[in-house]
Amino acid sequence: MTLHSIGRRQTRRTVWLVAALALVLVLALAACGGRGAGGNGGYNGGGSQGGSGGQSASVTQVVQGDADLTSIMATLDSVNLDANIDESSLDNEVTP
Amino acid sequence: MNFFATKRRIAFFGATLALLLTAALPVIALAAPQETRCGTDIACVKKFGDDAIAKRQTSLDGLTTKINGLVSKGHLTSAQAGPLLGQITTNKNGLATLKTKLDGETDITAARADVRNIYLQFRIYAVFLPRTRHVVELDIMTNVDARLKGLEPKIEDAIAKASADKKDQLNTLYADFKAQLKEAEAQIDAGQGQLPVLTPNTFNTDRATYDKAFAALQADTKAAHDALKKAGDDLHQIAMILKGRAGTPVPGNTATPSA
Repeated sequence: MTLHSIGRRQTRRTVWLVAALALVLVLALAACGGRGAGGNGGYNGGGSQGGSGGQSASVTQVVQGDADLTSIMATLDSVNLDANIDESSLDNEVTP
Repeated sequence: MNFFATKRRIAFFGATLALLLTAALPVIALAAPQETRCGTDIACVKKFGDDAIAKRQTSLDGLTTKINGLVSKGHLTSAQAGPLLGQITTNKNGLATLKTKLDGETDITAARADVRNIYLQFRIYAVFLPRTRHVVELDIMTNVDARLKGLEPKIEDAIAKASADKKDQLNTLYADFKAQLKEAEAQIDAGQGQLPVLTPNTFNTDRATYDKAFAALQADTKAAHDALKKAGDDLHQIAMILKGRAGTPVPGNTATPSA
């Protein structure tokens, strides 16, 4: 084994290592990109027919609207109770 | 003879005395509280007034906190809250000015007149607080109504894409949903129409008109609230029916409808 052949083998190893690293990097970036797109979207495209079984965007919005309303109506009930508090007797004039 | 004349005189005297006493009783009764509460003690009158003002300031602060909380939760817009918070500040400033005046009085009659103005000029408990709380409720209901109306195109789209066996039920619910929103809007408008009458001045000078307008405001608010609840129930049922389709493919769902 000459000095020349040892050097060639090492060069080949380095090339393989760089290629493997590049592959890992590309795969990692692709995974990140895919997750990002899915995460931001929430409802991910009506056209794909995947995920929640192809539920249309309008159905999702109606269902979400119903869920949002539950908390608003609870607030409205509480405000309604407040509005009907009768403290008017506190304004009955008293002369000190 | 003399005996009968004396008896008649005694009877007449007794009757006159009784009459005088009866006539004097209300005057005595009216004068009594002033004597029993503070009498001629001006410091007592001032303390009474200061306490009454402090109580009202605390109640107004409580309302401010509530309104700000509703804004931070997104139930009330800043534009809706602004005028209400402005009115609260006006009342707080007015009460503070009255307190300064009261504290500076050297005459007990003037001090009592200042105390009287706490009731007459502000009517915080009889007019301002109940009126403002109703305005808050009307504003929130206006927002809920707008939010529900905003869902109409989405409901229509969802019904259009629903399976045939569910369409009748969905359409019936949707028709009631729209009718309830219309009713809520009419009642909100009617309630808002009562507001100009609800002032301390009307309360002081024309109580019958005030009471009638306030009763109408309460009735309108309740009716609007009930209608919105019914619309909410309709929406819930619509959502449940539509949700029942989750997991099944939606034919022709390649184009996401715009909001």
